[in-house]
Amino acid sequence: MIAVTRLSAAWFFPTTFSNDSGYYRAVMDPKETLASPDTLGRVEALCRRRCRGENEADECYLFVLEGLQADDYARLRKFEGKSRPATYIHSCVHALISDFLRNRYGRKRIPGAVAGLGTWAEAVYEMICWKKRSLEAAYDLVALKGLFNGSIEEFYSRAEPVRKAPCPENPNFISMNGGEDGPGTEPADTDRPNPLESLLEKLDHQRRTRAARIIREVTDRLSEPDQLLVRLVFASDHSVAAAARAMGLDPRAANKRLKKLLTRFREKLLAEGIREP
Amino acid sequence: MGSLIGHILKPGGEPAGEPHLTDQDLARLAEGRVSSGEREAFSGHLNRCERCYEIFSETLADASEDAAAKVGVAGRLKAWQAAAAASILIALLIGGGLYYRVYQPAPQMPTASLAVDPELKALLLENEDLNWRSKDRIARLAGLLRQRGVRVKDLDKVVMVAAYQPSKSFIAPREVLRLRIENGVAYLEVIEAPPADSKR
Repeated sequence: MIAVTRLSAAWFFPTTFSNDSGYYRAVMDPKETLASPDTLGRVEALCRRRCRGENEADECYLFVLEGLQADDYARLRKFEGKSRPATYIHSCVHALISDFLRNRYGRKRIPGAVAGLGTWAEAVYEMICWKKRSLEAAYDLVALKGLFNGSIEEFYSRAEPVRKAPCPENPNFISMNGGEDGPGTEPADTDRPNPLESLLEKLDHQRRTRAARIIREVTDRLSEPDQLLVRLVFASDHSVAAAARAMGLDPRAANKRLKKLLTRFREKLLAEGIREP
Repeated sequence: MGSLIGHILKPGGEPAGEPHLTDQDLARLAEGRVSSGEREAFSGHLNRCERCYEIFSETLADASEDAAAKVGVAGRLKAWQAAAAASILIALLIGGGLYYRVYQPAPQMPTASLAVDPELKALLLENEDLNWRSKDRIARLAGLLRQRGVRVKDLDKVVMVAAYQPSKSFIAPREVLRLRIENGVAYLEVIEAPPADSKR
């Protein structure tokens, strides 16, 4: 099976292993790597996962391939053998996809009338025009981020120019006012319980905004690795095992640490009078 | 995804004047192949850089899928290692007990076995000394062993039971580092893991 595993890795990432190099260091043929059906299929799948709509995914796919081919496959040639080849390729592809999405949805696409209203308005525009969320969801999110402190009525009033701004990506977005979110909603939760998310969902808007501020403040005071651990598990829904591996921890130790961190969040929230209803 | 918490905690913007993490750095971190100093530095950047965090999070998800696919292999290998260790122990007790009673005290610390990953391999290949002289090299070994879950205090000495010659096979079979720590001395040996079950 070990031999099969190695051959499988080679199929995805055709390489010739040099005898005097480290375990994963390889003399690779980037052209062959990129031409392999498995690599192309993987790139396509990742673009479809991260993009909205088939057209965007197709454009992303071409962008990524061009990026990997650029300067005589410079990006692939930078592989140093310090990780599995497949992980390195994933890292390259995701970096290119992120660049593609940023280029597509960068700040220059926000209408001037919206940008002039401030950061909160830009965030609302991004939510309702690009991410096709409802205005109510946009209010929740800008309040959580501390970008808007007023009531929802005040928000609706001040967001009127944002709603009326042109949105080429979603010409019907003006009609999406409250109610359920439209297409493009972020994927559903995994089955893993997320205590912080559960708490926020049960709070009313005012207490949710306060809880969000507290959670942010507590997180900012943690050590850098602990901050990243909290983000990976609670904000990005990675498994504890995956986050533990990245943090150099045994999964049990990571679980223990997360429990301690959750206690810190709970204590601070309780001290501010916020408890789960 | 925890969408409310995600919006609260995910980094926004990019730290001014700070270079982004490279593709290789992100891949190494996703696999846990970084030193504690690097982890601290990388974490600091990821906590502030929306772009790098996004790339890292996606890469970690895919690296986790790949790792999960290999769990079956590792599980069977560990079962084999446990059976082999038990057989060796029994053989030593029956055949070697008298020798050790007369000539050597029994080992004070248990044997550990680790997969030879790139960091360990690089350290083992630094030179061909069977008795390591460099205190720095010995300290780095102790650090790497601790990172991989081996309980080890400071080492005074490291002895290679045999010179380490990396496998020259095209298939590059997996290598295992077996170690015994006794009275502050680490005895190391690298062996090839046997082929896995041919059924899979």
